[in-house]
Amino acid sequence: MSSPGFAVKVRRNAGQIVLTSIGTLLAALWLVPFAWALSTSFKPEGDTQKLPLSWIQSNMNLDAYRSVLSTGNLPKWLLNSVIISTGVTVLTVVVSALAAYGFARTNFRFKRALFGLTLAGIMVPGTVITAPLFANVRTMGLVDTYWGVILPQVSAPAMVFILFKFFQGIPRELEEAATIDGAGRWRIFLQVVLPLSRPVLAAVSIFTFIGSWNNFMWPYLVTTDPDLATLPVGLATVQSSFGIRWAQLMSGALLAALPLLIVFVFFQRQIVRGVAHTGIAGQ
Amino acid sequence: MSRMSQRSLPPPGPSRRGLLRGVAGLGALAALGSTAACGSAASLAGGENRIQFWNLFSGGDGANMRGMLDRFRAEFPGIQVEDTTLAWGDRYYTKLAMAGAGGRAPEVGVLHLGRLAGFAPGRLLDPIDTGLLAEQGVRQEDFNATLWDRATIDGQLYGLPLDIHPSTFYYNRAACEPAGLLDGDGRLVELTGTEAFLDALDAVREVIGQSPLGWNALMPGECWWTFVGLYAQTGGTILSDDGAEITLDDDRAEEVLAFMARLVAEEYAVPGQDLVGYLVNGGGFVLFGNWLVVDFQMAGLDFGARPYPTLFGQPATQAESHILVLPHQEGRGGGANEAAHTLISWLVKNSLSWAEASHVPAYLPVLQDPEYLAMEPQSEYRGAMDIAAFDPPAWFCGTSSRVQADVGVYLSAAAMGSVTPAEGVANIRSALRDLLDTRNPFGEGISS
Amino acid sequence: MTTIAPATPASSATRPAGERAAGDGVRARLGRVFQHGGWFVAPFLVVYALFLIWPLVSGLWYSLNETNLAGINTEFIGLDNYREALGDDQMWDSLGNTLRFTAMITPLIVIVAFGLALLAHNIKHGKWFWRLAFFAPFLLPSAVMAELWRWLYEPDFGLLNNTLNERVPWLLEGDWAMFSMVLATLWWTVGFSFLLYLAALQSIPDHLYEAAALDGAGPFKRMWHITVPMVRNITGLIVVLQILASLQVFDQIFLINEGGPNNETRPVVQYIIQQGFTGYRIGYASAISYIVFVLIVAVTLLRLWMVRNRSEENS
Repeated sequence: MSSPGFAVKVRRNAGQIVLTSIGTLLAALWLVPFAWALSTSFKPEGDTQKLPLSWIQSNMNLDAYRSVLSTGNLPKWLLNSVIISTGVTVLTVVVSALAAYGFARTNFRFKRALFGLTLAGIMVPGTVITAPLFANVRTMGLVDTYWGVILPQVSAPAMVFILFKFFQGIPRELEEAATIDGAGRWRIFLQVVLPLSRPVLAAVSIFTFIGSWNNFMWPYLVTTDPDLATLPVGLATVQSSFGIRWAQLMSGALLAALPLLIVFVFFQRQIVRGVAHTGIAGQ
Repeated sequence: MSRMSQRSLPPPGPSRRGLLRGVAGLGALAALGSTAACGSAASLAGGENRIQFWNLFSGGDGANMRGMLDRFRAEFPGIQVEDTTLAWGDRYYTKLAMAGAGGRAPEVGVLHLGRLAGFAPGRLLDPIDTGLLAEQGVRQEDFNATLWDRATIDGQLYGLPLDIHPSTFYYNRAACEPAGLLDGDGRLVELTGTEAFLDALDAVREVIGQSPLGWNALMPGECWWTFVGLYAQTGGTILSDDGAEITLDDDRAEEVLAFMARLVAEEYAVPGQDLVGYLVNGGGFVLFGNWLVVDFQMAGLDFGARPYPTLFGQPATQAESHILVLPHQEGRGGGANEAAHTLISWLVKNSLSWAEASHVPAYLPVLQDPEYLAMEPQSEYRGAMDIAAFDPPAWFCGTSSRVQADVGVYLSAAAMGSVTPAEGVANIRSALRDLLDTRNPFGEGISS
Repeated sequence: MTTIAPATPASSATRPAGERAAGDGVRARLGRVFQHGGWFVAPFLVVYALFLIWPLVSGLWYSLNETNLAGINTEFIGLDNYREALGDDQMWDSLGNTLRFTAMITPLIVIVAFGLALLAHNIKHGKWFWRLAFFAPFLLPSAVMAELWRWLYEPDFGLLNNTLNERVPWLLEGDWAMFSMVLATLWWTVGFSFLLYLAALQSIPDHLYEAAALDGAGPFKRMWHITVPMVRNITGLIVVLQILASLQVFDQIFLINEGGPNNETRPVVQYIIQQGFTGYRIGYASAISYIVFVLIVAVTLLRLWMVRNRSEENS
C-alpha cells in the first residue's frame, strides 16, 4: 500500500539526492585550487614541475613548510598583520560606534550637515584617493609606520552608517528610562546601547578585520620597511626577489590563508549574519 | 535665529576642544610613529660618525651586503653604520626621494644608475667629494670610463659605482654538451650572428626535446632589457646623449624586433615560463640578469653564464649598475659626511664578496683580482664591463621605470606577435615621444 | 529631542517650584545629556577629515599642479593634467579594461551566486559545508589568491592545461587573460554575494511557497514567480556593490599578471598607481583619479535614482 505522502517523500528524497550531487560536484570544483596548492606544498621542490602531474606521490614531505617557516619572514608578517588588523578593527569599531551613536541619539551643531558629509563619504572609492592620500600621509610623516598603515583604514563612513541604522532601531524608551535613573549619556551608551548591539558590533568588527587583513594596496604603498610588511605584502613581494619555488610559494600561501579560515570555521554564524547586516545596511 | 546672532553665540566648547584634543592626540601618535620607524631624525641627533645606509638588497645579495658591513664595522669601530634594507623597486625610490626632498635623508643610499638622470641630482642627491674618495685611495682611473661618465652629471660625481649587473646568457652544460656546443674548457662556443645562434638553439632542442630558450617575452621589463642589449649590438642609440631627442634607427630596431618575435613564433622560447624551473628541469638556455646565478647554484645545476652572444654586428650586453649615492641632507658635512665617504670607498674596494652574489664588481682592481678570476661562473661574464649597454640617459629610464612599462609593453607586443615588428617600432617611437614630452616630474635637479 | 518621557519627581534639592518648571528641569536635563554629542562624533570626524576629506580636497589641488611624489619643484598648471588625461590613450585603454572587466564579472557573479545560493538553500543537510566551500575563497588575501591562480594557469606545469591536455594561453593572450582574471575573481569573490542571496532566500516566508504549491505551481514556476521577485532588491544591491568594487579592481590583476600581456588587462587603478608611484606624478595620477571618481559617483547616483523610482512605483 502506498500513500500519497510516501510518493512525495520519495520524490523529495530523489530531489535531495540530485541537488546534493550537484552541490558536491560544485563544492569539489570550488575546492580544487586549495587542494592543488596543498598537494604542491607537500612535494619536493624538484617534483613540482614534473610531468605528468600527480596529486599524491610517495615522497611527499614537509620540507617546503620547514623552509618557509625557518628562512622566510612569515612569522614576522603574521605578527604585523595581527597588530595592524587588530589596531584597525578596535579603532574603527570604537570610533564608528561613538560617531554612529552621536548621530543617532545626540544633538549638536551642524549635525545634519556633518551626517550628510559622512554619508557622502561612503561613495568615495578608497583606491581612487590613494595618490593624494599618500602625499598627505607623507606630509604627516607617517610613511613606513604602523600608524600610517592603520589610521587611513579607520576612516570608515560605511561602518558608521551601519551602526547608525542599528542604534536608531533601539527603542528610545530604554535610554530614557536610564536617563531618569540618573545615568549620563556615557553610561547609557556603555551600559544600555552597546550590550544591545553586540551582533552588529560583531558584524562590523569581523568585516573590518577581514578587510584590513586582506588589504594589499595601501600597506604595499605606504611601507617600504620589510619589517613592517603584512602577510599579503610580504607574500606578494618575496617572489620578485627570489626565483619562483612553487612548493614554498604554495605552503606560504596556505599558511597565510589559515588564520582567517580558522576564524571562519569558529565564527561562521556571526560572519554569515555579518554579511546579511552589511549587505542590507548597504541598501 | 538670524545668521548674525548664530554666529555671535559661543561655539559649543566641548566639541571644539574635543576636536583640538583629537588633533593633538594624532600629532602625538604621528611623533610616536616616526620615531618608531627608521627615523632619520635620530641620525641628526646622534654622534658625528653615525651614518645611515639605505639599500634595496632584499634578495640573495642582501646577505653578502650585511656580511660586508659587519667587516666594515670591525675595521672602523669609530664609525657606526645603521643599515636598513627596504622593499625593492618603486617603493624604495619613492622613499629615498621623499627623504631627499625633506633634506633629512640617510647619509648613504643605493640607486640604479639608469635612474640617476631622473633623480634630480643636485636637489635630491648631493655630489660626492672626489677629494675624500682619493684620500681613501679610490680614483676615477679605477673605473670603466663609460660607467664613471654616466654617474657624472655637469662635472659632478653623483654615484660611486659598486657593480654592474648585466643581462646574461645562461647555458645548461647537460643540454649543450651532446649538441656539441661546448669547447674544451666546458664553455659555450662563440655564437656569432642570428643564424648561428638559432642553429645552436635548434641543436639543443633536438637534445632536450623541449623549447631550447628560457626568455619571458611577456614581461615588458625583460623585453626592454633584451632590446637595449641587442639594439646596441647594431651600433645604434635610442636617445641622444642629452636624452632629449630620439635617435632610434627604425630599420635596425625592426630587425631586432623581428628577431625577438621569431624566438616566440618559432617556439624557441615559451613566454610565461618560470626561468629557474625551466633551466633546472633540463632546459637549454636562459636570457636573464646575472642574479639567477645564485638560484642555479643553489639548485646544484652544472651551468655557465656569459654576456649576450654577438648577434647584430658588435658586442654589447645590456647592464644596469648599483651606484652608492649621497641623498640630499641639509648641511651635509663634518664627520658623518667623511664617514659616509669612507664607507662607500671601502665597499667598492671590498666588493669581492659582493661579486660572490653574482654582480660584476665596478672597481677595476677587484675585477682583476685573481680571487675574482677564479670565481665560476662570475668571471665568465666579467667582459660585460667593457661592452655594457646602459639605459638611455633620460629621467624616465632605469630599473623599474616608466620606460620599462611604457616602451617595454610595445616591445612585448611585437615579440608576442600581436603586432608586426614595423608596427612595434612605430609604437615605441610614439611611446618615447610621449615620455620626452612629459615634464621630468622632479624637475631639473641642478639649479643653474 | 522630539519625544520626552513623562516627568517623574526629581530630587527635592534640585526641584524648582511649579509644575512647568519641573517639566523644564527634566527636559533640560535630557537636553544636557543629549547635547554636545560632538564628543561622540569628534574622533571619527578627525580621522575622517584627515584621511578622506583632506585627500579628496588636496587631490583636487594636486591635480591642478605638476605635483610630484617628493613634493619639490611643484608648478601650477591649471587644467593641463586633465587635458593630458583626456588625450591619453593609455588612460582610455586602461579605463576600457576596467569597464570590460566590470561588464563581464557583474552578470556572472549575480547568476553564479544566485545559483549556488538556491542550491545550498534547498539541500537539507550540511548547510555549514556549502557555506564553507563557496565562501572560503572570499577570505583569502589577494596575494594568496593570486599565487594559487598563477600556479593553476601556468602554461607548462599548471593543473588546468595538464587536465585539459591543451595549451590554453590563459595569461598569454589579451582576451584569454581578461577571461582568466574574471574566472579567478568569480571564484574568489562570489561567496559574498552567495551569502547575501542565502540570507535573502531564508527570509522568504514558507507559506508563500506552500500556497503556490496548493495552487498547483511547479518548482520552476514557484521560483520564477516567488523567489526571483523576492530577491529583486538584493539583486539590485549585489549589482551595485559589484560594479563599484569592479571599477576599483587592482589587486588580483596586478598580482597575477601585472596587467599584462601588453597591458591588455591593466585596470585604470593600476595606471593611476603607475603614474603616481613609478612615474612620481602625483598630480597627473590625481587628475585621472578624479575622472574615475566622477564615473563612480555617477553609477552610485544612478542606483539611488533607480531605487527611488522603484519605491515610488511600489507605493
